[in-house]
Amino acid sequence: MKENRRDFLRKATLVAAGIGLSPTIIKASSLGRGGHIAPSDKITMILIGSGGQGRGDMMDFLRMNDVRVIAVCDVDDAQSARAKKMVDDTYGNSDCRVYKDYREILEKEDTDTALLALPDHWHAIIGCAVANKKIDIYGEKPLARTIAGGRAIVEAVKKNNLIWQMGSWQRSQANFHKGAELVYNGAIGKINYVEVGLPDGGHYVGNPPAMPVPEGLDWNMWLGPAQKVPFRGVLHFHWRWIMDYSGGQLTDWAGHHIDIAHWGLGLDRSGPVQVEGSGRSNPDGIYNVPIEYDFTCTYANGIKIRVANQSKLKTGMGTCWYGSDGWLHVDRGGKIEASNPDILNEKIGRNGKPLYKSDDHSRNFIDCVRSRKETITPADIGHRSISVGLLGEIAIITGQKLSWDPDKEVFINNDMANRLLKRPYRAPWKFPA
Amino acid sequence: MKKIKIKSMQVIIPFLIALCLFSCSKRPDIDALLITGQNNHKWQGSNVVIKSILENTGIFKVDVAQSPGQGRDMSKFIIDFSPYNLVILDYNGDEWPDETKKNFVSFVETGGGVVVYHAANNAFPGWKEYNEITGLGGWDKRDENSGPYVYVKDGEVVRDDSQGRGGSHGPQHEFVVETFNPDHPIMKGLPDKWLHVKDELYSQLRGPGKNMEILATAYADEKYKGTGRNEPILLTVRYGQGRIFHTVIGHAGGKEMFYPAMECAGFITTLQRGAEWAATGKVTQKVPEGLPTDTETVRWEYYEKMDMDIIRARISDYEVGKTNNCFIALKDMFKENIDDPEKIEEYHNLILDILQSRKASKEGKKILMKDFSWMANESYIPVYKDLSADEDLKNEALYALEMLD
Repeated sequence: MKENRRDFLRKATLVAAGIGLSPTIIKASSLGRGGHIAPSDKITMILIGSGGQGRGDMMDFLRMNDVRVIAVCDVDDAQSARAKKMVDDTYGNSDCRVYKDYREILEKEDTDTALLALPDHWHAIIGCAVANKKIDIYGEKPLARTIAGGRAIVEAVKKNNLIWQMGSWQRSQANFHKGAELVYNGAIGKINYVEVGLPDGGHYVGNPPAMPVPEGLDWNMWLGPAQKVPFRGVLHFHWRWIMDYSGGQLTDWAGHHIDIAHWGLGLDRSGPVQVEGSGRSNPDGIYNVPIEYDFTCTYANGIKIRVANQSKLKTGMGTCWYGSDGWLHVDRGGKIEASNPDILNEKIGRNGKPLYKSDDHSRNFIDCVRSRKETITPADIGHRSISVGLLGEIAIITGQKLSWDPDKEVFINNDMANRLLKRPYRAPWKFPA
Repeated sequence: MKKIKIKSMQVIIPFLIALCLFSCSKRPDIDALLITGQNNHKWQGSNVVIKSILENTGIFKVDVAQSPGQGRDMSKFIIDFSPYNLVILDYNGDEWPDETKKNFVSFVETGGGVVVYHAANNAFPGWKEYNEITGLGGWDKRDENSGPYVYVKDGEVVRDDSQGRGGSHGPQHEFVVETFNPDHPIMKGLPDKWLHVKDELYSQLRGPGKNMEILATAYADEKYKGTGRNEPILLTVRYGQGRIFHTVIGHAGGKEMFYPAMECAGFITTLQRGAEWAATGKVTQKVPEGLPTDTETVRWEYYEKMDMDIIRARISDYEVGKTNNCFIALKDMFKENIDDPEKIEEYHNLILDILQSRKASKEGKKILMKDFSWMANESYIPVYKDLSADEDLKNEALYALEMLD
């Protein structure tokens, strides 16, 4: 059954190619959006991690006529109930199945795709488990909590020949695409320096007391490979401020503005050779991620990328490339500015090298699931983007100037720093083989 | 023979120090309650900072009462103050229930101590007794009906009944805090003038100002939109049998991530002394060395001066709810001295001692295994293995062991 559906998808690609579409732009309309297609032609999808981000992402797919969400999974019954209601309300039935354990949904459901929106500390285990079931994945950024975890996902995706779309949706926004493409094509000359501003700080929670676990939440499963700690009311969204689960704003946003910086530099499949910097975490309370951070990565070609919380940078949030002929700054809210406005009117000439174009990040994933072509943000690119954030985190933890081998993905002559490429898992969870 | 002696001394000395720290530190004898939970400032951070500043003296034990959030049902926020000698106010928000108000006033009347911190003097403009307890206040529609402006002009206390708003401050800046009452126990031995770290200079405070003594002032320079007069910075009030210490400094900003004004050695020292006086009528603490001068600010970024003994004591006593500064300070020392093998060995020995100490807290050991195992060496392995036999520490010990794999 599954093989047949995949065969069908591959044939659909040939048809699409046959009618002369550009290889990187698959028009959604040609693949049935708004058209009439039989249910069997629909791409099936499951959602694992049905919190706010997962449900928000799922909304895009619920709007697509050629996608069918069939089941949702969450360790918190309240969250999965919300997701099921969204699905059932959309389809006008009560068919959406609900699971609490990702192993069970993978065992019982036959699906083409999975949408993963989990706390970072779960990414490597579940990402690899889903990939090894040969299911295409739309995965929320960052790719993983650790560099080793990200590498494991990249290898699993490659081995199983899967489509992966990283939730780095800024790539599918016109201003970011235009900015990166101009920089990539030399509109501001030779680049020597980039500033990436990410959000300040984090949130405060102080020291909430241990409290009863809410009904319907499997707290031990939520913790999974992380250390066992009492429940202190920190759950959805706010897990991001605790190092066991995330690296804070830095690792949350690395998959956006660092990703865009790499894209414009054409370095999104490589990494720096050196990193150093500093940060401060809050002395008060259980939130312990760096809330001030400022580090610089140097690449083999000499380009430096400085990443810092926005208050430390003149340009604030976003990505600002500095070249021999000027600067160009992109940020959320459609922002694109340059040292000289004429730069923004430049066209990529006949010999220009256009960057991958997508106007709709979610649609790009589904189109690629059908076409079997690479998405705009495949797993290995997502890995390189978050790696910069994680290298910065390790530089902050160690306080050392670190030399990095981006091919082998190890620190050179620094065993201690190399220990931080991975976080040990709590039994019985094992790092994906 | 000699060799053995040195070796055994190396083992014993850390234990002697640890023993001393435990046996020398008396049980804290001032039970304090800090009230927080609503404020136009970052109470989530400031309450932890104040708690640690006071507990670091060894004479206070501070509980924290956190109110419901703003606009929530306050009716269950009933506080019994009777177990406490001291109440610290870090609260500026919704009205307390009548019973809590009544209990508070009677606590002060019958001799309880109070510390009024920064924006706590903005709270409850309509609650007469509260304003008599704080002495002076500002904002929230305070005006001539709240009481006179009180300030110092030409060395004299002025009570000024003129009309106008209560409470103002210009942009934050460094300013000199000047002792006005050098004989008060809180002020004895402190520098006459010290430069405070950049902070809000509360001005135009007004209130009943009864039974009030100004201990220190600062000149509110017109250059910073100031009043051009010496505004009270530290003051005391007597209410019934109760003693109140009121400090208007130590702003913890809503958007800021750290609170430099609370790191000021002058703020910390006067808070510690003022709190003891409010609770007991005496100040037994020695004046610390290294306080700011009239031209140099001094910031204690960990809210105290850290050395190896302090770090050892704080980590050994660590529980969730205390500051993480002892761990941050140790990490900073590691980073700063990474190229100094002697110092690094000293830090390793400290960590190993605490990990092996029976008296050190388990929560402290957990953090030492989680956050410091990446820098560990082979000598930690048997220690981690021992700790993995403890059910409470097993996960962290296995984590640390795997880190070294």
